[in-house]
Amino acid sequence: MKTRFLIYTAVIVLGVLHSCDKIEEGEYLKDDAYIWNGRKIVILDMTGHKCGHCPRGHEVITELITKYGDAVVPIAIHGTSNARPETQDTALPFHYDFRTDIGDFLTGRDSPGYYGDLFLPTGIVNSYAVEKLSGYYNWETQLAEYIALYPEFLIEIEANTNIADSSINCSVKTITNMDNARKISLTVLVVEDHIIQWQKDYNSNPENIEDYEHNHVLRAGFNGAFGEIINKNNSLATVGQEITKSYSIKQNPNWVIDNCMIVAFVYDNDTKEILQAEVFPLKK
Amino acid sequence: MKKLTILILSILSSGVFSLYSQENNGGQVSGNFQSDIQYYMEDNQIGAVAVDENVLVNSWANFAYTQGNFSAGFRYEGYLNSLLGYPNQGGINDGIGMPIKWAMFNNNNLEITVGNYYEQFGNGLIFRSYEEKTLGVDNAMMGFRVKYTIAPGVYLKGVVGKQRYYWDYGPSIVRGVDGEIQFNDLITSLSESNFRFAAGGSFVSKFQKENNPTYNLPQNVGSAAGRINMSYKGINLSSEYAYKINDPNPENNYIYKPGQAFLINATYSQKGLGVVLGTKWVDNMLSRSDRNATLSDLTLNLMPEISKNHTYTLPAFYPYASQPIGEFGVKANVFYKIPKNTIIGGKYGTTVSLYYSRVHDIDRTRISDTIPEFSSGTLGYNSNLFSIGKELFYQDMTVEISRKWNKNIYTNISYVNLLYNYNLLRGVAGYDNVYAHIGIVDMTYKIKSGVAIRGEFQGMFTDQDEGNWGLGLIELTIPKWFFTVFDNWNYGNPDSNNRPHYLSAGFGFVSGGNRIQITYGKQREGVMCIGGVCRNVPASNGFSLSISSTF
Repeated sequence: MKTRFLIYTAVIVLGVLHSCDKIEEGEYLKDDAYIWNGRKIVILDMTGHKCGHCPRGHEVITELITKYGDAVVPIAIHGTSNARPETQDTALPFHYDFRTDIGDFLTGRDSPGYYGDLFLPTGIVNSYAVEKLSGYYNWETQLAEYIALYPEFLIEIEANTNIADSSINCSVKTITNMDNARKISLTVLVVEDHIIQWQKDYNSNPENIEDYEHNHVLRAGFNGAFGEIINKNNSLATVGQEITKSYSIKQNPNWVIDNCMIVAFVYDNDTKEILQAEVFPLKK
Repeated sequence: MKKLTILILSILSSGVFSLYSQENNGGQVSGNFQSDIQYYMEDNQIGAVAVDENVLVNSWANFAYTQGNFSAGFRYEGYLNSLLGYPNQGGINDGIGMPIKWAMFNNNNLEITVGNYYEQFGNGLIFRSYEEKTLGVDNAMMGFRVKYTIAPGVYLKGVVGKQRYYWDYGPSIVRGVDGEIQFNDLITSLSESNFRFAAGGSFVSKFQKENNPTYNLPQNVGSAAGRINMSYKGINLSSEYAYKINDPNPENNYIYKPGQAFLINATYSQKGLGVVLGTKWVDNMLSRSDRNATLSDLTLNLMPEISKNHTYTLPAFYPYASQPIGEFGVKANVFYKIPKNTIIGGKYGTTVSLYYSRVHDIDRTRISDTIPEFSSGTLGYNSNLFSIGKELFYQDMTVEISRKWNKNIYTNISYVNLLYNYNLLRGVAGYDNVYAHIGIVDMTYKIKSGVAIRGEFQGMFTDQDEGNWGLGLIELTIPKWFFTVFDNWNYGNPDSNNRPHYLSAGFGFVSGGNRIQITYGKQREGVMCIGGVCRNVPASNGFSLSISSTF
């Protein structure tokens, strides 16, 4: 009786001891799952209304927004000859001028810009670095590298529009969220959604679409294409330290302010990696 | 299940006849009953609310039948509806029924239990199924339990089942084994030795289906513990170590760090002197049979308390709640009885008790410079056994002097010094730690046999939270009756317009196994804890009736 019971007991004990599922490091998340910890990821989408493949990039961005929500901060930079208007006659296709000084500087207008001779669509995920330029089919893979990271900095934006002098005024506070020894630059831009204009799309018939919705379109910069260095003397090295910068810009009569937003992001001045971004809608 | 219920009811129906005679063909019926009834009235000053039902009632009764090696029983419960403050989110606890039913027999060193049972392995670090009605905790197991005495001093238990979840059961299947060897009983030559030694070990595994869209969660979570207990004359030393594999859940923010707990207790006692020393180190050991459960629901283990369970009202305002996510605590308690017939000890002797406990967070380090601690979907953090964190959770220094002055007068005088980390222990933010000095004088005057009057005076002095409190209580006891009146006054509330009196008066009747008590009064909003497990106590104003009976 005792021997039999001991055997039964041993079997039970062994069975129970095997009742453990240890999840190995690196396998904590399901294959397609991610945890967003607040790091916002900027996608610089170099595009043009006469670029027939560029809507594929726009579609990828829409998919990424659907999937990752507020984590994605796209900026559509219209540039190269693909952004040049065909005419000034507003009744004709491609009359609208999406170009900006910053877009021209980065992508080039009549000659190669900062990023060289570009073939659109192309873009950069969370960086200013030339070597990070890549096609839209790579953007999600690149975004996935950042999505679970924690923001090293936090950004808070306050902004208002002044009807009297047609200005947009903003203050951008950068707060250190992790100790670091980085040299930090801040770029502040205006982008606009829901611009209904012509767009060429090789997947469409006819190719020229009159009422195409252009989103995240770069309109202007408050402090230039690369912004400005904001943390001289390691003034953002320690958690909790903060720096506030104030800017003002004239509104363009072509902008629909309610569709505009301020996008601010900080990046490492040496590696050009964008470390955090924030968006502030101007709609009242 | 229905068949089991019918079987138990059949057995008990025969037992019902024996309620009057208590015995029937050698069988015996026993039981108890308790009902707590509260009538609620609104009181804006203290934040007391009325309820739609006007009156709420918690009641339960246990019945057990024993005959030879067989016993069976059930508990009938009713919460109509649940008293305020008891776990009852969304009315989940309201209702009436028979949630506990069991049958047990013992056959040749083998004890089998079917149905509901309570069980604990070792100190409960990996498994403790228990009930505490005062807290509204009942995580009874429903399933099977086997206990076997293999040889004298060698014990083995096995359990399998699910835990009670109000009127239902939790989703996990819980399996566990526990063994213990008491060497002095096993080895005949050691049976008379002054040195006694026992060792034990246990293993528990819970299985819960995993359907989380984000995390790969372990469906089978195992935990193991080993313990020893040794004693030599007046000295006793016991220790237990427990380890739990990854158990990510919402309360640890889905981290995959294994849990650990270490417990050491030492006692020394001789005539007139007792010393208790203890330490506890706990890291990520919260275990439930539903990874999504909260509060006191479906807890599978319990970290033994290291702080003192104060029974007087004012020091119990700031009780310590165990932190299974991580805590390191120490305690020391010395009792000394100053001998009688000495100048200091007096004619009957004087007992002095010194108590100290202190609980800190454990020390944690980041797994990476860029990943904060407790980041979900990661290991969470690194920690070393017995590391001590900087944050202080709780500290208690208590001196208690008890003395019988003559045949009629007995006094108990206490001083309590508390430090209470309000934010952590209440789960809030923005509050200061509470530093409180509390003095208590408890005097009993025995007028004649069976007649005594007791006075209790307490004062709490603190600059934090609600400020100073004073309490006075008078209790008269006569044969079979007692009468109590007390006032608890928040005279030092920083808001001078909010210094309420919590006046209460009641009387009770005690006879045989029956006890009936009626009280009218106000109760302060707060937290009550037993064994480190806590529940909120809402402010109330109204009548309460408590009836209990045993047979």
